[in-house]
Amino acid sequence: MITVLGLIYLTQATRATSYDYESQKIDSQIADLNDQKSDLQIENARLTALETVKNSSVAREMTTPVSTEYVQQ
Amino acid sequence: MNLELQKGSRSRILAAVVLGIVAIFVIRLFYLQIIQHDHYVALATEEQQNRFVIPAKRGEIFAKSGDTPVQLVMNEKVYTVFADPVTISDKAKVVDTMRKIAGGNVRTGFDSLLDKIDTRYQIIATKVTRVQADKIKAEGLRGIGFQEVSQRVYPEGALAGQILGFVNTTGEGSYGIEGYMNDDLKGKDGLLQVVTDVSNVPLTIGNKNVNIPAVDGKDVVLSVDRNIQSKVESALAAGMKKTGAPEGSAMVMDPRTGKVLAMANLPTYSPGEYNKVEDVAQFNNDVISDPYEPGSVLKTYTLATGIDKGVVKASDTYNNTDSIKIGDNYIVGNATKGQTGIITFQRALTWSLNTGFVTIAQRLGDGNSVTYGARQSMYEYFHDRLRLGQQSGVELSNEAAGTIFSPEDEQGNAVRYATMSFGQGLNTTMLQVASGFSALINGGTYYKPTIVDGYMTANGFEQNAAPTPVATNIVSKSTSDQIKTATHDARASSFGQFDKAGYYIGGKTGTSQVGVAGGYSDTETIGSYLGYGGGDEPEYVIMVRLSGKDKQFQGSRDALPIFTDISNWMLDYLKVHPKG
Repeated sequence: MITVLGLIYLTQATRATSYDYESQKIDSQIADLNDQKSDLQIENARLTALETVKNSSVAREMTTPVSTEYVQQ
Repeated sequence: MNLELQKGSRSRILAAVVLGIVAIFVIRLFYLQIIQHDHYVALATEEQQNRFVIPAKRGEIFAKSGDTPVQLVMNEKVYTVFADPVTISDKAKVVDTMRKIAGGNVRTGFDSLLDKIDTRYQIIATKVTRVQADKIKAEGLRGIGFQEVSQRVYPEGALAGQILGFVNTTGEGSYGIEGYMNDDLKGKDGLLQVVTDVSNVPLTIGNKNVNIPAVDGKDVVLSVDRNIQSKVESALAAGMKKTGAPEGSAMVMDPRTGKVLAMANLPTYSPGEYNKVEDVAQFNNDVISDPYEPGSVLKTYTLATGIDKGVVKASDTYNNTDSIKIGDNYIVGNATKGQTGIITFQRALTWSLNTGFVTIAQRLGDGNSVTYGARQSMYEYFHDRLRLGQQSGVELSNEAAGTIFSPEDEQGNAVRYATMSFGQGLNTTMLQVASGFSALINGGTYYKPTIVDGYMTANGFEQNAAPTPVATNIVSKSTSDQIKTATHDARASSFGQFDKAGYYIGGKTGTSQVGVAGGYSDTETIGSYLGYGGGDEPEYVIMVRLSGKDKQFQGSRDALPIFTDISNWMLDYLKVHPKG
């Protein structure tokens, strides 16, 4: 009886531990995806930076207006 | 002899020996498992448990682009690649792979480091990106390891460098916002104490596990507008190139709230390359850290004091002889000569005549001298109400207080206060002057200058509550209106043609002398301009300063054009409608 109970305890403890490996894998994937997201945010910030925009081909085609007029309603 | 008796004795002896041996085991087991229980549990815990620091993510810093927060400072995970020269099996492959993938991130001469087999750790590349690191890992090189490091990254480059500051090699913020708000930005590391397997994978067994999550640093949103900051930096650079000024500063603030919209100093530096800076003076934000004698821009303060105390109006007159005597020996002269005779204080402001403002200081007293009462009045307005000579509390490191002598001080005498009336004889920072001027032209309300507008949270941008005034009725509304009019008229008479038509712009020039041992320099002056602009009410205050060792700069000739450039641009940027 004691042996049986002992065996049951061992299998349950081992099972709980095996879930740790699963959660570790998932945590690792989450961390990896977060890193990729962070890299993309940095890339986005660089692409939308003022100097990047000013030096873009679109901006280079623009000119400074001679005057600014406002229309009153 | 009885054989049966002998047989019985040997069994008993054997039984006793066996019992004795078993007893030894039992006692030993009792000793190990009961007496020494705690000792062995501690040994096992030390062997099985691991402590991991969960690093907190340092807070990011945002500026505004209109109403939208944009990132100025972010965090990037990079890797330091190290090698164990003893375990490397294919040196040529390692060298080739590192050169191809890590490129410019490899250390100079790293291939020779791989030959040092008396060492077990050699850094061969730094700041390798995650993508590069993954590619190197995919090569399966033996003897190569990676250390993850978080570093600051600046998508806007050197923009607002001195406002931001930098994070040093120990992870602590220095200068600027990084220094001032270091505790808020760095967060608090967490702790994971857990039983792990041989590969350091945390396991849930064990009742002494500790899991304290990291508290990430706060993401700060500045009141600085990225677009205004960029314009101010480029206008200042252009102005300095034109005038040959080696040093310049400029700032823009909202007089209705005290929010700083831009702050620039040149020369500047890129916070991402702070280690390459040779002159550490470049780390300083002179707008807040470099008090100086502000000169004639402070005539607006003197005029406001006189008007508010009821002793003068801009239209009142005095007799200008281009010089005025203070006490027995001290004579103050005008830089611009020729406006002699009976003239108004408005004209004195327009032509920046020192004699007019010494006269106001005298009229605050008995009309003939800068009495103790006059000095008390000036100190009350300049120091107590308009907060010159004291730190403003803006959220940036290394703010200087400046110096203004009280009339109670031996140095707070009539001669000093006479010179203070035209902005000499005291030290203040540009931020102090601009903040006080904002109170003069916004109806008399002093707002504490601030550069933090709010924080980014899980819910997005959470703006701080609207700034509350530090003090109201600094000057009366009537005084404020008169100062606005006087500075507008001063500007319009000589420089109004440079402003966009239909707008109400006002300001004051400053050409201040620089103190040297025993007096003032004959070869060096600082040129400045302080002014406001906007629609129905002033929406911005701009201050510009140019200086250089043994160089002479003037407010009207050198600093004013930079103000005009920024001011005209601001009117379009803020979409201010012209009148009429």
